Amino acid sequence: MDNLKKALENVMREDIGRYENAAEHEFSTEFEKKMKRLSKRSATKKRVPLRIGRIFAAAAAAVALFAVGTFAGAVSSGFNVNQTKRLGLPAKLFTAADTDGCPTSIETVYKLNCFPDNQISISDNFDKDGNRTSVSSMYFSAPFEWDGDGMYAPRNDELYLVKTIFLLQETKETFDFTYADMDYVTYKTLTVNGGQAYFITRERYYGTQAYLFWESEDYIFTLSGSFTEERALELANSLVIYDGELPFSGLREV
Amino acid sequence: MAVFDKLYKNYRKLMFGIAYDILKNEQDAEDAVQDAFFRIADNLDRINDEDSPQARNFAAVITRNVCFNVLRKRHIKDDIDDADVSSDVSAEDEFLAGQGVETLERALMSLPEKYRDIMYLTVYEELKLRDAAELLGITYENAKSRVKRARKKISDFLEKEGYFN
Repeated sequence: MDNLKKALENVMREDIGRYENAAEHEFSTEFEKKMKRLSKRSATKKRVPLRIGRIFAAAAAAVALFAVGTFAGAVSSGFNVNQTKRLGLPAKLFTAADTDGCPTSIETVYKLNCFPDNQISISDNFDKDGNRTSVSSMYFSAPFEWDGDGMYAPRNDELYLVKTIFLLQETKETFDFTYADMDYVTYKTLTVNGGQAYFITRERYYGTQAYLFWESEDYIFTLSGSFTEERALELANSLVIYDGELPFSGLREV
Repeated sequence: MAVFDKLYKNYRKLMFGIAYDILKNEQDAEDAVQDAFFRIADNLDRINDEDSPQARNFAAVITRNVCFNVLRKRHIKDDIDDADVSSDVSAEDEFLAGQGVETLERALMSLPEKYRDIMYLTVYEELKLRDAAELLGITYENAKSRVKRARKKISDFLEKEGYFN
């Protein structure tokens, strides 16, 4: 392979060298600001593998799009739901009701049992001590191709956005729910595997965005996507232990 | 100066040049460079020396592939070859290993850039396929196909040039 490596080195030098004398570009103020923030973040952040970070961030972002403005009152069992105001929100909306004796890292991984393997991707996240503190899994409505931003599948020579469902499994200790202030939210309590759950929906221009939170004996689960209450319960009740390798991707090129 | 700052200072011009060459639009190119820097920031530990050709190639390859992803999203450039590739990679490796540098250079130059980039990351940088896929923002399966197709295309090129018996 030495010759191939040498050839690659030469080719890249020539290839990239074409741009060495590219004209100077004055980047926008906004760009420079973002780079400054990125520089600061890079200097302090702990390393998270890119794919894990990206998928986890996607799941977290989906979950974070969530309203608190219309929540009122506390619930006496299951999660503790904090009283919140529309502005000046507290750091946590939900906290686990019972953390005594719960695992501080993910010891058993769960997945939804409603999708074929080639439409599932599962990744995990670790804290600085190497403990697995959450597992996020994504479920796709069709085999797809990821172009870096969106998930697309081909149909009649066009690409269409694939619907996804996220499942986030976290230790109770690390569960830290963030929020956004939004209108038009509905909220009700349900039961999942005998435990209390919260079903939240929000109308968006593309349809209903739904979230289901529930607390098992050991973990907290968050399901997010565009689904009905019935489908949410069907999905949540399909939870099975996943004993395969992590990270797992059954996704195929389309 | 911190690693990221040095990379930013060294390569932003180069990266913008690449992005503009592909996207032909200043704003899109700036967005692509920004996206590329976010990926670089997530992979700083892969860069040994900010002033090295390795760092420069790294920045360039990431930028180029961010741009390809932008184009693909626009449906302007979706040149994924879906042809079935059933090449015997180990036999091809053996064959490629026996070729001269200049011959391989010509074969590599004949490749579309996205195939050259995956070869660079997996062969020269010796990244695992999964890591290369992450860097390029493509799926593992997609990366695997690209490597296979790149090797197949190199073999085809060499065969056409009369290097196969």
